[in-house]
Amino acid sequence: MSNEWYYASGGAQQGPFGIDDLKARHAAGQIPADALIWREGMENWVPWNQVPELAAAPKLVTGAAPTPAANPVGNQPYAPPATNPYAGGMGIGGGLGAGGMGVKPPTYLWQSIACTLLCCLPFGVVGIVYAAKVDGLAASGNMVGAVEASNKAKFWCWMSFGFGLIATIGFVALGAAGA
Amino acid sequence: MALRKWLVIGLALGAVGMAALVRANFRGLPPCPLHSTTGLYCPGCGVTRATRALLHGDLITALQMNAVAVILMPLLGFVMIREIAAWGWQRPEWRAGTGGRWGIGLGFAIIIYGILRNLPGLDFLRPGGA
Repeated sequence: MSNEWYYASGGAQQGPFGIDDLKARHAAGQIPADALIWREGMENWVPWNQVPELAAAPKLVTGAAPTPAANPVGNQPYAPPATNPYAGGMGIGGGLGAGGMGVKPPTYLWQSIACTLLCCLPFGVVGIVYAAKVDGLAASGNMVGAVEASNKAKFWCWMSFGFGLIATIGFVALGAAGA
Repeated sequence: MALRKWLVIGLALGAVGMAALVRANFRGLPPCPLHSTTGLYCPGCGVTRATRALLHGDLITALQMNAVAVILMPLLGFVMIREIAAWGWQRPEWRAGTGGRWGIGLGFAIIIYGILRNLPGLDFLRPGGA
């Protein structure tokens, strides 16, 4: 993969930079907040927080993929289909690209099943129920609903994991005290 | 970003350590909080005992402890490794996919399995088949 990164702001393109150089400039505040980032192989100019290699925790973008106002430089070879795999943005990334109608949010189905089997019955089950809704809502074009269901499935997975962990630690502590 | 990779690598090493403890029948393993407090058998009840049996090469005992989990282990292991690696290395193309209707059906089948295990007369679905 190319390590030649560019950023563009106010109609002016800067670069190329290596990724470490780019991060250093970002850390130093030299890259404006509204700047868009591009590297050869990327489909489009995207904001900093949607570049997987750069953003540690992409923010949630509800619904449709964002459309950068216009190609800020205008001479780049890639037409913008504007589907960024990270536009769904939740943690791992936006899941499977569904071209043309935004990006499908992840279902958390596997995570819910794992949580249910690894013993915290009530919350894992809620996670499965919400996870099951995600694809249907996305297929019917209800992206806001799909993202909501995806977030709820994620929430109940973490609840399941957290409560399971706390309960297990509590039982170990009780067992140690009783022994 | 490098932090995520190390978290995943730490998690994998932790899993190997945990497997060693389970195989050795380590006495410090906690009892299931849900079963101890409510007496219910969740869909995952018996997974630790099934894993211990598998680590000793005893497939029959493993199936008696939690047949559904043992049958699903290769599939769930495969998809969870992909999901965790995709998270750790930030590679969405490694994600496991959704499984579509089959995945959803599997989710609900596991919930139903959890309900059936607690019904009278279906004791054979419980760990040990008691």
